[in-house]
Amino acid sequence: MTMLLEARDLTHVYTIRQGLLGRPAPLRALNNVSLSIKRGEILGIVGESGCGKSTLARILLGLEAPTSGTVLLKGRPVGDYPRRERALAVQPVFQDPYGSLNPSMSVEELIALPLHVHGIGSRAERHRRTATMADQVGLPRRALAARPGELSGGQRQRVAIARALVAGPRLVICDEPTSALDVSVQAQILNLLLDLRAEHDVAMLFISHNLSVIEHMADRMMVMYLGRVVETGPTRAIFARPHHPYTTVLRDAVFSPQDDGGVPDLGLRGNFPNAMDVPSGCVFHPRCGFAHPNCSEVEPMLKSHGGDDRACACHYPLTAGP
Amino acid sequence: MTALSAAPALPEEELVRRPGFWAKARRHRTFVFSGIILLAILLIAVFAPLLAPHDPFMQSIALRLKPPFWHDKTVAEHLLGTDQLGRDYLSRLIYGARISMAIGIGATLMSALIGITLGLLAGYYSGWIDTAISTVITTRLSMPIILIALAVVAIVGPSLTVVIVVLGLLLWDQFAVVTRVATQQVCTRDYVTSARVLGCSVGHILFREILPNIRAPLMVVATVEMAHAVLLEAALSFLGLGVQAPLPSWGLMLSEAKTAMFFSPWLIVLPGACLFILALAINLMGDAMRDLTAGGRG
Amino acid sequence: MLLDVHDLHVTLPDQGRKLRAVRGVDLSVAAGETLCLVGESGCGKSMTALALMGLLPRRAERRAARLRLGLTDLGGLSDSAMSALRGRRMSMIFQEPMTALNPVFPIGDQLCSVYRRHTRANGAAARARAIEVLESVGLTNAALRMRQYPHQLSGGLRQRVLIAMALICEPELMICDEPTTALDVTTQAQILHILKEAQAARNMGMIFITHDLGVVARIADRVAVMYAGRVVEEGTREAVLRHPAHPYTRGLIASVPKPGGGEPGQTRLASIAGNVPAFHQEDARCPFLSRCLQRMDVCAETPPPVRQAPAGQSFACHLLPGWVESRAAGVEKRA
Repeated sequence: MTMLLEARDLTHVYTIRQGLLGRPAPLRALNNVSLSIKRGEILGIVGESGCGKSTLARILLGLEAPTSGTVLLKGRPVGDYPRRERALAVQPVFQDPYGSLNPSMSVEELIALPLHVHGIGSRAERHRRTATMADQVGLPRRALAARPGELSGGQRQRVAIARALVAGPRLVICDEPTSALDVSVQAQILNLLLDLRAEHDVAMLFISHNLSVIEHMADRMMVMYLGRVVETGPTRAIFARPHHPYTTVLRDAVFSPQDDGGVPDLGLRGNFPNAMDVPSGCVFHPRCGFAHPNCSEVEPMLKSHGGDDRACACHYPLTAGP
Repeated sequence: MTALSAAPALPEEELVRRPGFWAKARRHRTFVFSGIILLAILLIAVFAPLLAPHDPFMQSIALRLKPPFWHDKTVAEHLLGTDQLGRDYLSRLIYGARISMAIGIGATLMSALIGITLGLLAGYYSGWIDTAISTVITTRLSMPIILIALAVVAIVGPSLTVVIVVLGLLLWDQFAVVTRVATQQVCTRDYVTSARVLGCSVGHILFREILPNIRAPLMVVATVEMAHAVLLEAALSFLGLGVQAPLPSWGLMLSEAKTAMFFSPWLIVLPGACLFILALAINLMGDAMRDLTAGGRG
Repeated sequence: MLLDVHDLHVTLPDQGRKLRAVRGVDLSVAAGETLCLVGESGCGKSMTALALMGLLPRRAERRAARLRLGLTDLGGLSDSAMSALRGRRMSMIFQEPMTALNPVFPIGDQLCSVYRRHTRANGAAARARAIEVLESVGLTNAALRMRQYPHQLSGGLRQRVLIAMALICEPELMICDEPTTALDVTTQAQILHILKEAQAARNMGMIFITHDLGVVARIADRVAVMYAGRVVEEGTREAVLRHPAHPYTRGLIASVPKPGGGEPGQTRLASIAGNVPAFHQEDARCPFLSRCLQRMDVCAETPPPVRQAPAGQSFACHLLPGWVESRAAGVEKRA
């Protein structure tokens, strides 16, 4: 089956000028990142700051071109599609509910914008589709005439989601869509996204720094560190038995109301490395509790260790055999 | 379609009603005060033919230099007296409002058009376009505008239209600077990014996404530049290089009254007072705008 | 009792009306104990902390029946006395370290100036003390770091510097307002470690404000849940998190995605309908009324009484403790 979206060996390098007179130095935000999403699937991407997930989102949305690597939409390079078709196929939902909506447009205008810009349907048709979408995301009808300034954070995210889905995209890229919301509202929005995925058969790329949210939402997941993919596979399997030491650290660092008291020792040494001065060999080795001597010399490649479509980039993955 | 995970229809689940601009403005004392004055001057300017008791150009040698109503030698039909050529001063002041308002509004609109366009382009596109436009702005900022205006008017010949155009071409710098910075700030917001991902045209992004959201600082700049334009025209007319006689520009009236000012002080005081009131009202309106648009998110 | 607060009220003027941000809050913290103040945005937890520290905006009004730190009555102190006490006996750290540190001074200068403000130490003694406290929060090469500027440090390191600044005068009580919300999870774990160690070493009382119930589970001794300016449930960590009594607390715990809970991408979370109230309503009703699935008629008529739950915590609800469990189970099954 053709993958809906496929990214192969994406590398992206920024040139940072250090200081007024300093020499420009390269910042490798992404390093040979590959991923694939099937139709209707939710792929979760988790990582901490500096891991490159935002850069990845920008490249997949078409805001930036990668330094090298290709992005394929339904099997064809994304550059082959006319801009309009690509725009309609992939839509974003951003993190900041207060910055992602134009404050001077009404909710109806905001949701209808994709239809309006691409001339889809007559005016009456657009109005009908907007109203339907507003119902589906749980916005009261009177919200349609309101401005974003009159809505709460959760309501604004619903508008953003409605806008993303109104033109029927095949993929929605959600960049931390609930991180800025209250816990009770976050649960509503996560439920909404799952319901809409089922209703519209739309795939999602769900980026978050919160592992428990990823575990709840994503069918498959990908763990990133310093611009590289360190582990990927079905969410259930990875949570039950992580292969990469960093994944274990991430999992242990997420707390839940059911936990016992006491802050766990994550077994992490040192501090976050500087993205401009990447460690040699395996980029995680200075902090890894299981590092061996050759980890600082050779960079591990993403390899499958024992079936069921999991892969991990580690010389000594935390599993012995299949 | 049923509402999936929708909030149940609760009476309290509301939209936050924020007081609109006009609700806040109505309560702001400075806004109301300056608003009334400006509206009054505008109406006087528009309805000048209906309000002026006499023809402002009609001369009468017999009734020269009659003083206004608070003086005992006043003449009943000329409430604010007459000037050296016997023209009714009240009528001239009323028609003078037309000229000042025309200058204020005309020059401001023109400079706003130029400055905002340049600022939007410079703020949205960084790189060489920004550098080029910034260079133009810097060049314009380093020019002394009064001298340039004088020079241009002297070459082209003075008239009301020339003054409006010259001022419009010189007063756009603040618009450009403020628009550029505001545009850069707004461009970092996710809604502009969303519009780009959506494939919106540059025109849509500049005029529907960015411009409506940078209105606040621009309104303040507009009031400052309007006061600036009104006073510049008065200065130019005073020097003889603005509006030409016999048009009743307040600045020109000041100039014509220079020689008679010690014996007929009202000739200078009245147009001076009018200019002062107009400029003050515009500036107060600018202050009020700054207050009303400051703070609070969209 | 190290900190004893009874019936704290904070009012803010807002466009002609008075907004009651904190309504009759009771808190108590013992030495060496951690109290977690939990709630979502707008519940008044930050205002409560600012009220304790005397850092409310000028126009705000604060009044309390009792506001005591040890034997000192905080309510009766003058501005200068409060200022001398802040940083010395009671200190606070905030969520965003970058804006809490002065960007134009090296961190060493900032640390020393806090120390010298409260003690009569000279420059050398202050420097030595600053290096000592930086090392105690896990900063290596402390002597070198003293000369660095805030922008040269990462978020986690800046937060450690803030903690060092808060600890340098050995306070009796430390208030932390969401100090790890803006940090990565791995950094958060390290910061929480440092805070707990610092607390144990000094037998310091700590008030930790957060919206993250997972963090509460890990570090709290006692928990107070706030909603719309009031404390709706208060008790030991065990009682409140394992046997929550108030419908809001139950709803909050249920809406957190749990590890190992259901098939990924297929399960729904129990959520609380509606939004956090933007402007608080009047007193005669329970503040949670509009969102509560177990509401009864009496909830709209009288304010809820404070009751004691079987597990020992107190909570403000009309439902009798025994009823809460069974009614909740019934309603949650239907919802």
